[in-house]
Amino acid sequence: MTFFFSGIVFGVLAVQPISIVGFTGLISLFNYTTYNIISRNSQVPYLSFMCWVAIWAAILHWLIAIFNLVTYVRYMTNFTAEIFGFYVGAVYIQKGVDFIIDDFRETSTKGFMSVLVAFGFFFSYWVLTHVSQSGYFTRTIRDFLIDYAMIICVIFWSGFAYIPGNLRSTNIQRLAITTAYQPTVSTRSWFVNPSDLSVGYVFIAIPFAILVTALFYFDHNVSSLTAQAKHYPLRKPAGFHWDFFLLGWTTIIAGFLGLPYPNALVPQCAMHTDALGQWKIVQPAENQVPTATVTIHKSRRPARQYSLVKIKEQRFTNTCQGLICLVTMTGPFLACYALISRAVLAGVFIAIGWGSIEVSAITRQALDLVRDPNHMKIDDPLLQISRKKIFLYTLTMLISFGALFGISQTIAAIGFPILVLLLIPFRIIVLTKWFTSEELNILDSPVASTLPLDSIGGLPDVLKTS
Amino acid sequence: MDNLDSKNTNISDLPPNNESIDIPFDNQNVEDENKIDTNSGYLSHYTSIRYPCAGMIRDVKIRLPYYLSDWKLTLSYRIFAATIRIFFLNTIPALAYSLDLYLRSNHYYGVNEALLASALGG
Repeated sequence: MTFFFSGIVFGVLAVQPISIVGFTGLISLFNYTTYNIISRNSQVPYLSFMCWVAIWAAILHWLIAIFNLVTYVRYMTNFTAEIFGFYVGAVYIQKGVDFIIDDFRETSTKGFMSVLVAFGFFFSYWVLTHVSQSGYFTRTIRDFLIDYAMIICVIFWSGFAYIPGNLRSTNIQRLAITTAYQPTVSTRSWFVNPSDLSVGYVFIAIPFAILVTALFYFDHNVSSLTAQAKHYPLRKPAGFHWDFFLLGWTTIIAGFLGLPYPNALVPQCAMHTDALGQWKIVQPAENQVPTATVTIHKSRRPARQYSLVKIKEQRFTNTCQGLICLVTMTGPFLACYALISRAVLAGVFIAIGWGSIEVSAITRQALDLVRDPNHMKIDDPLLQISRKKIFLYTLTMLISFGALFGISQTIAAIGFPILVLLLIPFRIIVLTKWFTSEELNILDSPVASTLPLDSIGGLPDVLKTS
Repeated sequence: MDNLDSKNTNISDLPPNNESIDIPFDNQNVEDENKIDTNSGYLSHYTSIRYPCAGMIRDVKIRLPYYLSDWKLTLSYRIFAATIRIFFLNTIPALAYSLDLYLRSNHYYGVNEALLASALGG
């Protein structure tokens, strides 16, 4: 029963049920970096320490929500969001490559099998998701492909490693599972006892809690913003303060249960909004006026454009996916998860990571820089500014990304949240000195439209386009 | 879904609904921004540290009228397909990260923790 009540907090109670909250890479990074620091002193019970981190972090979350400090999220622009999206994509790919390298460490046969499966997965997922944006087949088939691309590929490539003969005999590493509904550390109960920790360490947990709060302040809010980005025709209002308050609750519950703290996920939130989109054919203007009744042959009709007309904003998808998570924690489903090989997970990492990088503004601008000007679209707004400025802007983004990526490779990764938060004042103070406001209007823009931004006080004057 | 507009009481800047799809979306944003510029009392309590809880109260108040419509059972295929899609997009990477964390944190966290954390958020 505890499971049921602890579940599905955001689907039921959030103001923004569009945000998908779960376990993500950055908190994984935080947890193992903390582990590396804490395990130097073997006396410290790690989970109790993490429980105290969660308690302090929850208090900080509540204070931030109560004193309306979430309002500063309005200073975030696409500059910050795109760098962060690019970073998350790069980390995904890096993890995927790590998994493949781990297989190579065992034997090179396993390694090459792993490369085959991972890149096979990546390629097939890429093709399936791209077909859905193409003009091939019918709309129904394309929708089917994009909705089930992930599961089709996971099943196919997991099965691929079981094809009898040479493929099966490679015996590549699979996902490790443990008893259903039991903690992975079999000696502990689900509830972590915070009193196991000595008083000194209770206070050492405070700086860690500040870092978690900083990370979630950025990660959770930027995810919610991108889920409500400008191009989505959303109609229901947003609320960042309340959701941050709720995030404090999920953090403290996760701390007491000894779980990694969940928060909103960067690529998944926007994917959720995409999945709920309703597309309709918008007739070209000249077709709307009935003129002479000339029947045009099908092949002569002008190409019709699909456009996003509505987002199905509701709480079912978010709540149900949380409930399915609980259901799949049962034995039979866990046994299914155990069939997934590490190489497939490497493929998942590379596919999702590349999905983020491919659509990133950094990639787009970098490609625009090398594109022949004669082949640029005439209405591309980037044509209005000099290439030197685009180059400078893209370079700034890439260097910021490099700093974030670099720090997360070391034990200094613990300071990552501070660095990523610094990007916001950097955009407001430094970039406005390097670029004119006209240039910044073209290069950068607010993440979300006025409806979601209303919750945090609307666009600040610095970012308003005149 | 049609009664949404009539129920709405607090916000004046709802984007036009889907009936006016022939207007490009950029124009709508420009319109909205103009509306807000004329509204001089825009920066209100919920952006100031001096009014505790104002932001949360505002969020709940403004969303509550929509709460029932969020649950109104619209058993459409899209909801089903979106649930399946987002479930796998959420859990499969979570499983992958849990494997990474399992190896790096001396087996403190595993698949069960990752799934429960995903469910907790939900």
